[in-house]
Amino acid sequence: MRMGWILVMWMGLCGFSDPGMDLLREEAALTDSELVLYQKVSDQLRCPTCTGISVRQSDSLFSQQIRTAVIEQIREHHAESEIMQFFIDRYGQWILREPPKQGLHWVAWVLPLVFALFGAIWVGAFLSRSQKRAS
Amino acid sequence: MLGEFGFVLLMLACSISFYSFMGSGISVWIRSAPLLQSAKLGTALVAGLTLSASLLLSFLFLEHDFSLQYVQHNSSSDLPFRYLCSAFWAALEGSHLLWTLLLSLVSTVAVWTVTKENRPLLPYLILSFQSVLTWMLFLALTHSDAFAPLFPAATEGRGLNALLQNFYMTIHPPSLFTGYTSLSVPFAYAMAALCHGGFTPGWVHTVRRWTLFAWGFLLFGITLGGRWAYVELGWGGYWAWDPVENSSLIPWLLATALLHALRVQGKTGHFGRMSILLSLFGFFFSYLGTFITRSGIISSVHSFAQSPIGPAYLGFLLVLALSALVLYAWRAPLLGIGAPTQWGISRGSALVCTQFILILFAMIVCFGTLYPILSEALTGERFNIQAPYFNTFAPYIGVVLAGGIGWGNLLRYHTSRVMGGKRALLFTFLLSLPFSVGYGYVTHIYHSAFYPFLLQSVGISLCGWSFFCLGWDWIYRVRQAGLGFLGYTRRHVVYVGAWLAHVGVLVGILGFLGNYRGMEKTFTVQTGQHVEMMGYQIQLEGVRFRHVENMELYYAALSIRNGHGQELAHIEPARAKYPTSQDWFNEVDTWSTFWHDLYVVLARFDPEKQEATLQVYLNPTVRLVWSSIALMIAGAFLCLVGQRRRKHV
Repeated sequence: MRMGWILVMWMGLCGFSDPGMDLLREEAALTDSELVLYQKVSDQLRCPTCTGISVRQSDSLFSQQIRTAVIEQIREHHAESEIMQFFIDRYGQWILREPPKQGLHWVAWVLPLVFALFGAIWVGAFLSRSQKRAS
Repeated sequence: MLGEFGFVLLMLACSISFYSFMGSGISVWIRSAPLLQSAKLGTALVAGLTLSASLLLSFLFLEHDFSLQYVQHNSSSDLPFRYLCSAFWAALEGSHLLWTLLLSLVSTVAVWTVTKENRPLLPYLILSFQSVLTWMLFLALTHSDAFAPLFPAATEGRGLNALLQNFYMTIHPPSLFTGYTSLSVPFAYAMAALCHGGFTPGWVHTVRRWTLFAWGFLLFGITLGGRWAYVELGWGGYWAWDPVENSSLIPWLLATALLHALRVQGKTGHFGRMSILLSLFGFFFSYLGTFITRSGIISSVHSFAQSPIGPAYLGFLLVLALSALVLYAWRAPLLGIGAPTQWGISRGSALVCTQFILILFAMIVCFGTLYPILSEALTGERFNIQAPYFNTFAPYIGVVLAGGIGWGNLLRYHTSRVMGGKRALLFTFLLSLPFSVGYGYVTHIYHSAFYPFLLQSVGISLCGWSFFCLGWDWIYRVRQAGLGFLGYTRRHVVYVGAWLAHVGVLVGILGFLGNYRGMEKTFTVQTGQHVEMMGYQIQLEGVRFRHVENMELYYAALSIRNGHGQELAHIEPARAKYPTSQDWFNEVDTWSTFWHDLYVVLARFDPEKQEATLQVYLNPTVRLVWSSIALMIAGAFLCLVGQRRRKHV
């Protein structure tokens, strides 16, 4: 019986301190331009406890905390790059969903273009070489 | 007790598979027909034994035999019948067995239906299939034993992973695995052609048929996975570029490239070596795709717990790939490269370019998926690439394909003349204008930011143009053949199939381009209140509770009305709780029109206050994406039927 009461009180406490509700209220209070920035930033940060999705797409506790922090940053009138830097300083580049365009991570952006370029040259050379041989 | 029979059956299957492997190899050496025949019989026996073991495992699930570890870990006695059946492949051991079973069945059908023309390839085919099968069966005994006993036996099971308790998950793995394992046939034929030192007359036909079969099943499996993610995970999308999704996409892209290479090979005699390479890599990637997450190298939502089986899979794949490539380097010169041809701007060249684009796309996806390993080597820090990276490149590939389909279909083999000349270009261009503007208008692309708007406009225009090019091509052929529309269609079922598949790709690209304009809003409402979004009124009629099978379900009863207050539909997004988990799971509900889905997630609920928080997504053109898949699969089916009929004629 006592355990039951403890459980009810615990659930009540959880209910009062449900970060999800607070976050929803704060999200609803954002102006249109703030909302656009909020969605843009939270789309670029990965959910730390999930795989493959952003904090915006995730409802996990960790993601909610990050989203709350993003709203705080927006309230303090920080620009997009400053907010991103805020998270990179704390979590490292790991928090990003695509490789930053700096240092060795350039490889990730350049290599597909190299594939495309060399492939196109190879295909072009193949088709024209065969043509010469035939004529 | 019965579980031990299963183990014995697999042991027998493994021994016979090894016999078959050795027998087929030695039969080439000593030229013994009876030995080859016995090896051929061996493939059927292996399939029979593996099937018996699998049926036994299914039976043990239905019987709730909790003296078996695998059954106890993945089912419980309150599980509905359909999930008891799908619990078979809920974890590593079962999915390993399913893969092995499907491979044994596919290889048996492939070996026993070898045509007279392909007869010289038979021993090499058996050798290739059985080399993989023997290893898989060996692993099923040593590393991933689905029949391992539990001591002491439990009285109740742990239940099935709640995320897998979904209709789409019951058929997604078998369908995808059928696709993966069917790609073993082009692989075996490629190995056989290399060993034999040349193509047999029936090679292209058979490989094309099996590739089409695998292509259709892979696509179906991938789509089912997407549908599952869409309705079960509740983040509003169907494709997250997750490593496992990517690794199923790569073999599909390679299979698509292979179909185009085979077309060139069939028509011009060129690109035989490319077909070989694509057949080999298609299977390597499907093997890698099945097991990449088991290796623990890449993390994914689909990851099974890390297991010592990972290195065994990867080691085998390396050995297989290395031996195949060495064989290729040694034997490929024997295959010849075909007579010199005038490529020019012909349909042949267009097919070559198509292959290039598909391979490029596969390479980018592969690179992005394996980037964590590369980044760790380069920077010392693991970096997992996610959706935004792939979404940077994919639209360009889509747009190039959209234009390429139209251009390629206007061309003919061995000539640089565009079919129908300038008239064709002018007509298709003029017809595509109203289509593009109309489609852009109904999908509201003019609301997009400048860059997406530009991409969408170009993509939609090219899709429209290509669609009319395809239409022009059909009409032109019908008129040239003089058989009438129905007469031509009936005689050229393969053409109609390919036509339909290409229309499917265009519809798919249109769908993806429309997806850009998604909207998302979160509302908290109380019973009786309504909210408005994009002209819809969504009213909460109550937060209710019910039991469905083994789950407890809290759902928001919602009615959807249009702007005039006319009721359109009732939907019930819910949160479900399963006895085996403390977590709540999303049961999303959607209401779809042709143009968009209203996708509603019940984020929070309070049955006492009768209050619900709803996440509402307006997802445009999702139905076009599903329709495009249906068109592509229907196209593949027609190609298969038509090819068979043409052969009989």
